[in-house]
Amino acid sequence: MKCSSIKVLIDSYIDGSLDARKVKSFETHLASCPDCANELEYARRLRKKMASLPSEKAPDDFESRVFQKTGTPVISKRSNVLSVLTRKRFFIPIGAAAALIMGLTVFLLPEYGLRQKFSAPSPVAEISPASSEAPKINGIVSTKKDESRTHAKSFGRITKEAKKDTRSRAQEVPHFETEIRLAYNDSGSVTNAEPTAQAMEENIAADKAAESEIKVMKKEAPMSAAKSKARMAESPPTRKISDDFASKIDSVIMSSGGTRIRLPGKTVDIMGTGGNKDRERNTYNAKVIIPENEYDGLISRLSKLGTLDVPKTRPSAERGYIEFTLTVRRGSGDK
Amino acid sequence: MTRVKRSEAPTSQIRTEGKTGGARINDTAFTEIVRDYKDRIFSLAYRVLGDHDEADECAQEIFIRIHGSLSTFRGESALSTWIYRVAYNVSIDFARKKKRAGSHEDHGNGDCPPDLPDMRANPETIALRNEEIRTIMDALAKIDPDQRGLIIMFDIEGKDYEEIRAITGLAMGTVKSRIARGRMKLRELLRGTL
Repeated sequence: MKCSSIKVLIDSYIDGSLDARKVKSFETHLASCPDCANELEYARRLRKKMASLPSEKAPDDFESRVFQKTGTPVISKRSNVLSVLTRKRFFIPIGAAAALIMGLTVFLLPEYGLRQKFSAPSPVAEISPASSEAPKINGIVSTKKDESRTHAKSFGRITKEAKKDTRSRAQEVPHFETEIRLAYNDSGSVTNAEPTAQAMEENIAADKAAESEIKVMKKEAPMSAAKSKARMAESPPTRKISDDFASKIDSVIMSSGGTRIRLPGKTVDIMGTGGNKDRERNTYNAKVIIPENEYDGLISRLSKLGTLDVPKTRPSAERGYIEFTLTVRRGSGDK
Repeated sequence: MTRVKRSEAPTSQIRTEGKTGGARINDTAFTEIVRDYKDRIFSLAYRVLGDHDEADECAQEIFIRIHGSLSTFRGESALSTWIYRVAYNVSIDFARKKKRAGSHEDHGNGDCPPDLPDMRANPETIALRNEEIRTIMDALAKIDPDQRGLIIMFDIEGKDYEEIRAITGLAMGTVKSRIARGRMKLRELLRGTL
């Protein structure tokens, strides 16, 4: 090996990316060439000096200038939502999105007698943070935090399957309860995700009125499957689905073993949700059946969530309904 | 060389739908991104540009770009990768403009060329090998911006080839060859000085 080759290969040698044959040849040359040995030493020394260059800090007023330029309101401390997302970025997105899908599945599956009702309105799939100060607009999936429970209990199948991997961490994770809020306007069609100021005021007024009538559900421990089954036996959800059922739906709350639909003055538990989780791919698949005329709108909204894979082509409809599979995925590029 | 991976925060879940709650999450996410990344981004810009004021201007521009395009982030790569991609591209653009403007050749006076590190940086920087740092930064500033950015990420910030490939979108072979050429040039520039 010549000296010129050594200079080219020095970095690969330091990186350890030279194959064994070249390493041997490289070292043989170095043993007999003081210049190249010095060059190697110099390259190593320079690497060390480069790696030890101190970091710079942004000026003290840097942050405030960025916020000023971008018109970002100054938030004094980390929000609960993003803090938790930061720590547990696998579970929350999967859980929230899965809860959305499971909720949709429950509502849209014909087995529950809702197909007829949902031929007109459809749920809106927008995500926003839960906040007591936030206006209660229609069509929201909100994520609520309840420090008293562990996350491991909150998302039924997904969490159960993931529990083995996370048992030690689960106790530290705050519980998140995903609530799918559905509401409809007077004409029976779904309200816009970006409601007008008037609509928002009306919704807020309606919510306030409803609050006086609805006994706010206590945040109970998630139901066990057995308990949920028992409740099902007492009050099967398919029995009393009246024509105005959907218009009265206040919210859907997922819990282990089933789905809880909250109505004014009434709570209905539904067992069973479709789907399965692919642990290898960190995905969760859920079957959704939806009226054909609502497919495009729903897919458009779900696509924006970023954590869902929706069908690339429109599946064919059968008897006015489209069945498709949604895949909830962890950010594919995350490491 | 020991490489320490920085934490991946915040998460890839940046939700931006709607004008109410979504906007609030976006603001919150952006706030956390600025707080988590401002020093790292500023440091990258400073190392690429070698000037405190230019780094400040560049880093501000980086965060403005991030703010403007946060809604397009779809979680297809790690958030940190996406942020660094914006930072790298903007920093290199600044460096190219600076190179075109010929500021490298216009040192003004020999004692304090304008593209050398501004020593208004933190006191630690000043205390530790002041002259040595100036020498390295000076040599770095003479390397082609494309090679410079990659060397900074690999040799100074401790990123590996795969991370750099993901950030820059370059082919792995291109990343390796640019780093190798840049290092050889850097060694030549610094020979006899360190």
